[in-house]
Amino acid sequence: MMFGKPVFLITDVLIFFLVFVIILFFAYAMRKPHLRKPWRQVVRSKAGVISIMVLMLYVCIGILDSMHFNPKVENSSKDGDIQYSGEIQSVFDLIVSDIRNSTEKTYSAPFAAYLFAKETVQLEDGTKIREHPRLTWGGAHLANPELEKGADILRLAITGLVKALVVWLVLMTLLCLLLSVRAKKSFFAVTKNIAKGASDIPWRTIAVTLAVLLAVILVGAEWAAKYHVLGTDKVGEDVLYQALKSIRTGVVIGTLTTLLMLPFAITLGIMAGYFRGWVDDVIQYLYTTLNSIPGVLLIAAAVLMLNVYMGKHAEDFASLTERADMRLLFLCLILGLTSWTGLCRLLRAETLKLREVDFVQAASAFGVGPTQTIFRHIMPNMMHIVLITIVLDFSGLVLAEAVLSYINIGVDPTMNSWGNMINSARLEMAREPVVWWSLAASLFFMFTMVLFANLFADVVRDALDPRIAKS
Amino acid sequence: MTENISTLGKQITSPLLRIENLTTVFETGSRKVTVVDGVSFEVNEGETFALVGESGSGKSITALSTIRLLPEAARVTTGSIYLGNQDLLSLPERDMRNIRGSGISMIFQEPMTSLNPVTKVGKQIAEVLIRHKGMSKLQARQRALDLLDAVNIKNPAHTIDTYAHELSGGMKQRVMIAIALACEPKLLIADEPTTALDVTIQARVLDLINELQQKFKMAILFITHDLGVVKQVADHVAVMKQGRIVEQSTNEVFFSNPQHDYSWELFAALPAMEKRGKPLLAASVVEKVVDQKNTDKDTLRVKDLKVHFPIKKGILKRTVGHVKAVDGVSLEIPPGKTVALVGESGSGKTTVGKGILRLVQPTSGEVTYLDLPIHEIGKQDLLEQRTNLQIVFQDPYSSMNPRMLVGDIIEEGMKALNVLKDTQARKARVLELLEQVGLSKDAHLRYPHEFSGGQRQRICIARALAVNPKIIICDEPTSALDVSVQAQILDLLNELQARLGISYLFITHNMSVVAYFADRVAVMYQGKIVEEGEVEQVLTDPQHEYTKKLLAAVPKLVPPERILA
Amino acid sequence: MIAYIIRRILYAIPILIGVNILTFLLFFVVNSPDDMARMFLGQKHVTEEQIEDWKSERGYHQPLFYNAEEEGVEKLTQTIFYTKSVRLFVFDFGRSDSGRDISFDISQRMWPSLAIAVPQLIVGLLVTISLALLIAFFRGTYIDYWAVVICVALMSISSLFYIIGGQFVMGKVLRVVPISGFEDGVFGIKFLILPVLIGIIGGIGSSTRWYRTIFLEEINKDYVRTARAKGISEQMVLFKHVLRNAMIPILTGVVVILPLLFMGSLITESFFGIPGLGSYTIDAINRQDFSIVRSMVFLGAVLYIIGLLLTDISYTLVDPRVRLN
Repeated sequence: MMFGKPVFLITDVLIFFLVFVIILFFAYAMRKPHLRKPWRQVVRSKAGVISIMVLMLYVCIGILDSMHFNPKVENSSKDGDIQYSGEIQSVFDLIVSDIRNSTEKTYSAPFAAYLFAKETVQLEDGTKIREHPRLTWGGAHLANPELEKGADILRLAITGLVKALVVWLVLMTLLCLLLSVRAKKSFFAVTKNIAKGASDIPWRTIAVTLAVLLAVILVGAEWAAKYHVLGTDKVGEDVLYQALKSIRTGVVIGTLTTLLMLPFAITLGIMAGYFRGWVDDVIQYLYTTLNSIPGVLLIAAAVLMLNVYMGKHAEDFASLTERADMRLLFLCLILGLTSWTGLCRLLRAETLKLREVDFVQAASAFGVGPTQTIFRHIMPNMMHIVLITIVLDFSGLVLAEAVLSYINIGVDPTMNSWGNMINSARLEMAREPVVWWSLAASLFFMFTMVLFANLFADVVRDALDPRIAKS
Repeated sequence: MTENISTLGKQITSPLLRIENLTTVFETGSRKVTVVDGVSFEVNEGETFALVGESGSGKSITALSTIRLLPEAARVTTGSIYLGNQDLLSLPERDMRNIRGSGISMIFQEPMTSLNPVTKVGKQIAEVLIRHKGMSKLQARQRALDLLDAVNIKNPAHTIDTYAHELSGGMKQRVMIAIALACEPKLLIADEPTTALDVTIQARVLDLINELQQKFKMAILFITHDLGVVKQVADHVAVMKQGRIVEQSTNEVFFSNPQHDYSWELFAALPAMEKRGKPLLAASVVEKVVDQKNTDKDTLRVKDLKVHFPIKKGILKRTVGHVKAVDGVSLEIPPGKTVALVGESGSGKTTVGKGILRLVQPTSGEVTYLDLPIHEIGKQDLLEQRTNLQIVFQDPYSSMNPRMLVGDIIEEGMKALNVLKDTQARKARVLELLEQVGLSKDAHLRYPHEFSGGQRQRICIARALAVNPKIIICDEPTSALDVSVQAQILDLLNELQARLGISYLFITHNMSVVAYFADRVAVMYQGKIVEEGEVEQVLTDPQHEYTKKLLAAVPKLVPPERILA
Repeated sequence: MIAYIIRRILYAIPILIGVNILTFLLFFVVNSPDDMARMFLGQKHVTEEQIEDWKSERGYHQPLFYNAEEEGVEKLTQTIFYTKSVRLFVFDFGRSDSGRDISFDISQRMWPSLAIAVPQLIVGLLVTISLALLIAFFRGTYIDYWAVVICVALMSISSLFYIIGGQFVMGKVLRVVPISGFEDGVFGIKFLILPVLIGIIGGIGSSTRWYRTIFLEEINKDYVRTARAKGISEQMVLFKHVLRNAMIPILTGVVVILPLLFMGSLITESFFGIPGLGSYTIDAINRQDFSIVRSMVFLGAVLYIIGLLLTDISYTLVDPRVRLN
């Protein structure tokens, strides 16, 4: 690899596995009309396409941030063999390397050119004065920030908007061309149709969303190249970078937790409902017991024990990043352990219902065995419950991460996450004047993702739930 | 009151209810479906006007349009509805509310769900009295007691303080009637009021409605799909098809000489004793192919079959008793014959079918077929016998996996039971079966939801036929279907029996289907068979009290014969 | 009914045993008491003696399950499993790792927790049910649509934001109420207003939306059509018929969490400096006081099981169709 040696953390592998499964699922679902139909309904609703696009942006950042490698050491290749640093970086780090490396001394406000705190600076003539020193990176290109900053920010914004417009026009032209070829209509007719908002799939909504997203990304990129758009934190790290890096943590927790608990919930739920009798008793006992322990306390207990364990086996982890990754995975596991019971109970009830339905009875009249009955008749008819649970749980898990990290039983303190950002910013609100940007940034990024995840979940549930779909 | 009626009687110039050119549409998104399409009719004071039609004909929506209780997606687009001289459609909602429950009342099809489950029934009756008559709570309660008495509830003082779930279906419908009649409305709309009830209870509820109509001198708009009921209750009849009224006439004319072709089709589709041996709709009779030599062992014998479900109670969930769903049933199904098992809901007839197939394990008793004790043979032998014994279920919507292609559904049994080992042969057989049950060959690549109820039932029959069974247990296969579709399915079953020599155990509650279709009949009551014999004999000369009661309750209807000019 | 309750209580025993064994495994088997001692005393420069002292002070020096050095029954009772886990069944929580009597702490600290949780629950229920009823009345209109959108937005905001934002605006900018603290008696009310208010606002989004769904489900049932056919106004239909039926799932959903109100809310209490069981637990987690965490796990399980039992009983009270047996 050109930047270095690839590293696969366990969560990376699981994330790629999940992406693979999702692609497989959609490839399969597209061939089955009854599976295709609800998803068609999803992409035909405006809320559906908007939330899909926003979430895709988040997920893409998360995936880019999951491609890890050990970077090459710059001046190591003199005798032919390349050396790699022990540090683990991601492809996303590479893309945003500018803001990653642009650390200041301490706090600075958004778009500031000066440090937030006063410092004693020694002037050339030897006199010492207290003042806000210039930042080493943010707004460093300006000769006289007081006068030039406003105009500069505006200029950068316009540059970004123009770039966004160009990209948008190119993409939209390609889209219209594609649609006109597929629908065998003239390019002009298709474009007019979209502009009027008369298409089946809400292309106009998609176009507007795309424009907004492109504008945000490209203007943000222009600004971020010259300023700390969201300021810097106590140790001078760029807050925007932290907030972006936290996306991966949120996405991993929101998806892997469900992925890890699904096999248990599905297997146990179906077994309890289908075999009944003592199997049912044992499984019910299992989940009532787990359920009766308050979730936060179970997580707290487990994480405390993990701390002790990790303290004892410190040498097992090659690097801090790997250690943090193990902890993240463990947190997913333990969150999964506290959340599988709900789905398990739902699936048990549904199986109990389905096994009495006529078509299952008909299958047993043909002597179809339990394994085949479960795989052919029962599982496919409750996949909608599983899918609804996956999307509904996502946002709750992201919110839970913040709370857990806040009380120190969440992800590793060295890992970027919104919870950790809030945790370290908790005292900043008490400062005078208030340092609000770290907190605001993490809450805003988290809010956007959770909001669109919730909207998406609503649309998916409406499309998949047969009780709602009927009316 | 009497004075009131007599003054009204003098000025009958206009009918009580006049509906003109009513059109109601359903709007979902941009899609518009016209459900009621230009319907006009008049209901006079004190008469019963029956609106007849098959499902989806728009008869219920016509009724709901009249009382203005349409579902949210539906809307009246044109037309007018006059109650006396008042135009209901132009009334503000507030005034319409004053008419609902006092001027027009309505009773619904499902008494099970139509009463509020957490409010005592007395209060539900009193509510309407307090609303319209301005009675005090005490007065309303007194009146509610009278009303319960009026609808022939035996112990009103007890019933008034019960909840809906403590009452039987028939009792609930009586309570519904009491609510509807509380304010002595001029018009009662009855939307399939007896469809969910057993036939003996239906008879009593119809009598009650008739009696109360005389007493309160009200008009009834009676909505039903059952021509027998229409014949019994209606003064005027209107037949609806696809949102339009195709024929309107008096009871006498309609039942002796209907004018419209569709009316004739409805009559033709009715099964009856008189039509035995003739197809209902099909053009020609299929000749019986008698090529098998049936021996005694080909008869399926059920001896003293019992299926008991334990009731568990107490701290340790001990079994304290049994629900005796089937309690000693003996039957014989001779080869190539149809044996009907008749009974009302809860009589245990479905459990008999499942017990024979061991979909439910019988508690005791014997089932013998081909000299094999079906009730106790091992798994492998049972699998083998599953090719001989098959089942068709009542609900064509839940009896097929919605996630499977029709072809795979039909093939499943062949695969599981190793009927045809070669894939190509199986595919060919699927196509052959589809043709046999009257569906096009391309059906095998489609999903169940793309078919209508009748077509689905055909697929279910094809699925059962796929393993070449000798006996098919038909568990109410036509009771979820419209009468014309029922006729097609009965014709198909008849044809298959003639061609393939299959025997049927036909489980049903419908006496006229038995009269038309079965060779022998067994009448079930509370888990036991009370009477068994040849159909003609049992139906014309019943011996057991229950059979007599059952037969007396069935509305009499002899379909008119069409005299072709 | 009584037989049912007895059976449920008997059924609770194996569950509590399960909880007990699970926590025991988690606290004593995954990591040995030695590990915990080392953790507590700091990783390095710890002598064996210090570890032994730490353990014997807290009673962790005994063997896990079987004490061969003792006589008779004491072979089993002088063990960690007996003293630390089995004793929980008689609600003997023992002493915390810092030496405090846990039972006493619990009895002191549950009142502040209740002072926050109870008003929050009651006012919250009233507010959200009224809102949901209002939205249900306007179902299918733009009011309904935007109300749902607002609910979704509200429930997408982290609870941390409500607390931090509330403290900042009410306490720091407007200076209406103190930011944090607690006081017994009537004057303590000023400390309760903010946490209660924030708790309610934080829950409005998800509860309102959930109750709206329940109401809409009821509105589409047949008996509501019957009520309309009686000529009753839409408001009365909602109040007399829909609300009464919808209260069944709502109330029973509330009853299950009633006993857990004692435990307080971790986040709220620690933010507002309220000396309840929630902040007690959080402090224990942060100080890594395993005895307290273990006790709270057991207490939580007991309360949850009581909640389940109360739910079943409340069903029979509000729903005439349900009979326990």
